[in-house]
Amino acid sequence: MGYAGDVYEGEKQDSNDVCDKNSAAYDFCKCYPDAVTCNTIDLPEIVIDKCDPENVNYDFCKCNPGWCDSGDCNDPFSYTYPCPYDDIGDCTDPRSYAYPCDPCNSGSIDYDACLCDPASCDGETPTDSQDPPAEPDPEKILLVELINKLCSGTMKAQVAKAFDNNRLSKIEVRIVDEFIDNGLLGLHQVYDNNGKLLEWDNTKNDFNGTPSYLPDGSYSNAVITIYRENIRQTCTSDGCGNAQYYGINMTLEESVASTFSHELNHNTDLEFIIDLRNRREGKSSQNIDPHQNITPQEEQVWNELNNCN
Amino acid sequence: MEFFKFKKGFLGILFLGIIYPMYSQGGWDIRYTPLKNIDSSFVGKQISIDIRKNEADTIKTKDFIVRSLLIKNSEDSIELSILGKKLVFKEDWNIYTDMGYVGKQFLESIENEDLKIKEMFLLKVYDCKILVKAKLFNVNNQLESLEFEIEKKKIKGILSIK
Repeated sequence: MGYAGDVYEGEKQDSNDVCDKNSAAYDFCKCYPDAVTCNTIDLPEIVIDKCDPENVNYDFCKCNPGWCDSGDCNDPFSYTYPCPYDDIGDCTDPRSYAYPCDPCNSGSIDYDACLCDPASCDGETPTDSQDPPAEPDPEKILLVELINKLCSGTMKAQVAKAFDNNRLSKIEVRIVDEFIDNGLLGLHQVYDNNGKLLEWDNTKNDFNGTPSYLPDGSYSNAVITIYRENIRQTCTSDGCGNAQYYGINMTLEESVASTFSHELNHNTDLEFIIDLRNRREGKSSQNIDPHQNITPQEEQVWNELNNCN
Repeated sequence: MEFFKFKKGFLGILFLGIIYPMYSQGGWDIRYTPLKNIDSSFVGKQISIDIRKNEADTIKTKDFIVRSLLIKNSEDSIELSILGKKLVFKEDWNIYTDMGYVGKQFLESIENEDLKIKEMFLLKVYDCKILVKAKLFNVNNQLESLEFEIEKKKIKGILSIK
């Protein structure tokens, strides 16, 4: 057994010579103190002036920050300002549609339909309100094709708007071919967050529940019903539907199409939809009538159909 | 000409939307009853009156179409004694493809379109007249609660809630 410091037989001891290359104490500069590589040289500091226009390294934006876009989306003077906002439904962020965190704010992750509107939950089995209606929807296709073959540009534009691929609002279309004694030629309804189909409550001047909304304020899911047999039963020698009472003779097909256009309008009339929601939530409201924006377009449709007949 | 009436009706709705929260998107509660069938069973119910244009203006078919009221929009009028004055009112029908509520049908003053009679309820039925109560509104708000009589011979029928 050996110990530190022991020198065994045959083992060579370290010379501790700074010039012995085999020694642990070898030091080139101590051994050759005049060697050039061991001299300390004080070099002058070279400063490159990047703000000298004559300098090849001249940096205009660094030297003139007021003239250049910082590219920082947090800088209010930058073209990139503000930074893109990705609404992740953070109800604590005032920029989010979900703001504020309120169980009665339908955009909030804390939204609780049953708490805010207990009646909407009675006897209902909650479903995912985002579930789209069953596809394909042959009745929708039929009505869209009908409108596209008629001569009203206003109706065609309305269909294009309602079924734009970028619109997330889903519309289920139903055609009723038996007489229903409800006085209606058409009907527009919306779903709440629990998948319950809401009715219009005339005493409340609102739906009988809280509709499910998309971030842009439109309805998530709607159902449009066209009572085709009811429309047919309004037909006289003066035409079909309400238009006949305003001096316009429309065929059954034209009346069905204009009724569909009327109901589509209810689903795209964001001015009214947002105003109604504001009123319900106690915010500033203009008390817009549901037909305030619909009637002028309907009148336009009737005129267009009348003029090309 | 027909659309002129249509537009006037629309403006009436627009105006009412400002002074009174009247919303109506989808629904129907109108039942039409010809004059001869109006009896005490209607007492206490909210109604709206269909004014008779002249003696010949009667319900001729059993299947009366309520929507046909629109054809004579602004044409039928009636003189009523209200607040010590004789004022002439015309019908203001607000019936759409997807909406028809008794509570949204009004009488509108011919002299002043801002003056409207709303929320009419039947109080009594006499042999030759009916007694109603209603509210008088102007452009801003409710002016008065009224009770007045209407001669039966001036009425073609009434709209009541189903």
